[in-house]
Amino acid sequence: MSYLNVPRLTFSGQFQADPSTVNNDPTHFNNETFETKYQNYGQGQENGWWNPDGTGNWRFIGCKITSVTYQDGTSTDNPLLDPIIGMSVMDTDARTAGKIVDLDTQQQMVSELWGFIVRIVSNEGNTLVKGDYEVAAFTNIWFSRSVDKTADGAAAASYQSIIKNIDWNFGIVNSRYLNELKAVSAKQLSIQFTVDRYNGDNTSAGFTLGRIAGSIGPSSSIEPKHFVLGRQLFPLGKTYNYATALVDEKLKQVVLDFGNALQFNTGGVVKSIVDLHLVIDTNSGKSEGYVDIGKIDYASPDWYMGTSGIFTFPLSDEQLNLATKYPLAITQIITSPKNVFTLETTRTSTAIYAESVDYVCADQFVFRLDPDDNCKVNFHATHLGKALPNAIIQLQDDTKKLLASPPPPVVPVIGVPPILYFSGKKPVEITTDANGKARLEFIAPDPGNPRVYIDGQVYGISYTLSTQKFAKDCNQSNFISLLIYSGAPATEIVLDWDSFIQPIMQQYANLYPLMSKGIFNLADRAVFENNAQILHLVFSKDPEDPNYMPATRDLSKYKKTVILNYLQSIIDNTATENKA
Amino acid sequence: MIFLKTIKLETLADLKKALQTAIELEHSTIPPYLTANFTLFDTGNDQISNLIGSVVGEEMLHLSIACNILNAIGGKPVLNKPGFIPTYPGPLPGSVSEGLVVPLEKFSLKLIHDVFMAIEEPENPIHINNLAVSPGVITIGVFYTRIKEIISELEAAAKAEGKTIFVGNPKYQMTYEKFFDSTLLFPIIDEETAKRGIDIIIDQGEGTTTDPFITPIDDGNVQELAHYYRFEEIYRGKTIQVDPAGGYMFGEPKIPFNPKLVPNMWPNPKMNDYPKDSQAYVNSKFFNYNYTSLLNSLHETFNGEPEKINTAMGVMYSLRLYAIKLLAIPDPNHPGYVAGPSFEYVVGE
Repeated sequence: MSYLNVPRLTFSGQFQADPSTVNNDPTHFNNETFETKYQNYGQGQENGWWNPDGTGNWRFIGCKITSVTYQDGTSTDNPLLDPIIGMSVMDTDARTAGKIVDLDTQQQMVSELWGFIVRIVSNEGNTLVKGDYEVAAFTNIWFSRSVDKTADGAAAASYQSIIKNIDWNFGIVNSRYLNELKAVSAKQLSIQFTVDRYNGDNTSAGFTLGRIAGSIGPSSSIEPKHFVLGRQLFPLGKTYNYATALVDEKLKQVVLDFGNALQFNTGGVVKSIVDLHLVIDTNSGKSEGYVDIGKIDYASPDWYMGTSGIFTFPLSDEQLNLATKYPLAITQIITSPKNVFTLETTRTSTAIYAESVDYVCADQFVFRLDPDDNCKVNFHATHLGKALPNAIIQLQDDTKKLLASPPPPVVPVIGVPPILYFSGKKPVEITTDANGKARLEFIAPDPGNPRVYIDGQVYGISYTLSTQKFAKDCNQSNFISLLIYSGAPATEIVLDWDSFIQPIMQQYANLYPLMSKGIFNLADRAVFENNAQILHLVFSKDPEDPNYMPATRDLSKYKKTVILNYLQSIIDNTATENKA
Repeated sequence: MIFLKTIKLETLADLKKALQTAIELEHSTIPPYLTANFTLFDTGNDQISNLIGSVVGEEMLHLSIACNILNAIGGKPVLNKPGFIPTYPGPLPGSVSEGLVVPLEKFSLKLIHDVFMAIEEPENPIHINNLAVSPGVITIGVFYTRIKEIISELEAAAKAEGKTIFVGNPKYQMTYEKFFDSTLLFPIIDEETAKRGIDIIIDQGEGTTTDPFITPIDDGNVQELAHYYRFEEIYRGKTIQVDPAGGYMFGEPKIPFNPKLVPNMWPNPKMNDYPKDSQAYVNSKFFNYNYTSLLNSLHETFNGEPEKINTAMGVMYSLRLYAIKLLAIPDPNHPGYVAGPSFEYVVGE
């Protein structure tokens, strides 16, 4: 079960993403060449990009529940029928905001949300449901979503994860939806949302805000957390983006998530409205073989924010039978007059999307590893949305292709030294079990310090079914991103303030100016030592705690241990002095 | 000097109410002190900023002691209701309405003198004489002294019946040795610890009648001035020292104030005064949402989850970042001024 199952709610509103951008440039990590102007607003390597004063905060802003779909498949958007309509979906109200965090300055395309809480809040401000969002990275990013915007503003990406550790507290609210949701999925929920139309103009009132639309539904512990075991629809052109559908055999429905599929234009309206149809492709893409399921009607101006882009199509017994045997597709129907003198028309169907009949996806695809960590990656392979057993999954190190570096000036080399596990002549292979699942396991090596002034190394590992080619047959977002931290240096070094701690703290002070100027200038020994207690507290927190330091979650276990030991010795010395 | 309304203090219910007032009163000084302090960020006035910061830390301590006492007698501190934050400018909670009006303003020596020193002004014989002719009001010192007295009376009465008023769940007591020495913030479990806690509040705020320094035992054995005198040092720009000729004197090192870089914050900002489509409004909302989150986390801290003080601490630090952002944004309604924190309780989105 996932958010495409029932009972499901949709919500929409705005989000805030407030990352610091001084670290967007890999060369800014170099303390020796760092200049204070890199902390200024402004594009380019000589400046701090669009948000040098970022806090890292990630929040929901003004998100409202727009519709619910019940267990029986019926829906409503009427608050008189279910009081949950119009209620808020919010983040924390009693701790620091969640954080949006890049994996690495050389892999900024899988930003994760850490320490984020999701709540459903009544109009009176009571928290009815509250839980922890499990850390997740975005996927399916495209930069041509909003044709009226540029750069990040033009982009859209999707997040899918689960909400866990749930507190249910809605005794006083007579919501059929909440009662059904709790009955079906009390322990964890599935949540998905698409973010787009981000405002990166620091002179605008909406700076750091963007648009969000998503949904929440039941979740089952045996299914993937970060994608839907469904029907994967691949766009055949560049003006559409990936979509997912789920054939619900029990309810005899197809549910289509079109949330991150279409292009938008000025005012946040869909760029062009054409006659799209969800069809069953019974004859290998020949138009006479298309069995129409229904029109994808997104003409209403509030379609996207009202439905989060989710469509439900009922299926006849015959359609259901065909839909389980043949791939789905989305076609565009163009009706044109036969000639200028008659009313007769011709209808042509052109495929816009085709289903990736066989599909494999890693459930978690972003990993932060220390040397000797056992990395476990769980894969699910499907055929027409159902488990694909005995499928061979091939994996290889594709860092250079996947994590392409920007052109000069020179940035640190990535992907070296290669991970021995992936560096044989043949790809690594794993085979799916009867449930279509397979697990990759390898021990992270110590990459040493190949990037010199940036800890550790990043890698991109591509994977495919053995019957497929990554470039041709796969979703280009579906690969594994690894950050492997450096271990202890091979040669003995002095772990004192000047030679070890200060340079690390200087880098944070350079890259996160608001933090260093506004709270602690970590690079100042007196400040660092005078605040040893609080720093020890935040450096030793669980990384899933929003107060964990560093907010960028890029500190190796080795460095963290040295720093914590150093802080502890300061604390112990202070205690001894006080006693004396 | 702050004058509080005379309160009825006879029953256990009266005592609980008085302690809730104490919590609100201790809290109410924090927004004006913090606002002034936020405007000193990165202006080269760290010495002043550290002095104000040290007072804020102790107001937090006083709030915590008051909460611990209220919990110790089976009360329930409330820190997360809309009226918990007073309206600025306005009188502090429990004070007489014609009394001192406390604003949210940028740092200035006038603010220190006219407001902060007035808030912390100790009771001296002259003021006590004045009190005799205005029977409707009491000083903060008298307020706490009366709380001490009623604790003794009620506890004596309870003991006479073989009972105690200290019936609260001891697990609700919050201590935080990382920041507050255990001689200052300790579990309140009986009359002695309760009265000891109140003595710390009085001494740190006002000092004694003969010595501007806090009795070391009331301040974690640190040599530190009472709040009033810390503010007076800032106002006079000099440090207080023992005068070799007897008594105390203002002298070196100096505490200079450099006003040049202090942001020109429009006084007493209100979130809803800003146009909805302005950066000032958006960031004011973030600030207020975060401040409300701080009160919520403190409420949880003092209602059975004392370990949440760590969470509250995190929110306190992030509050500073939101304030710094606001102080960099022009006030859309007042050209030449910048926006500032408004410390308003917000619920819902």
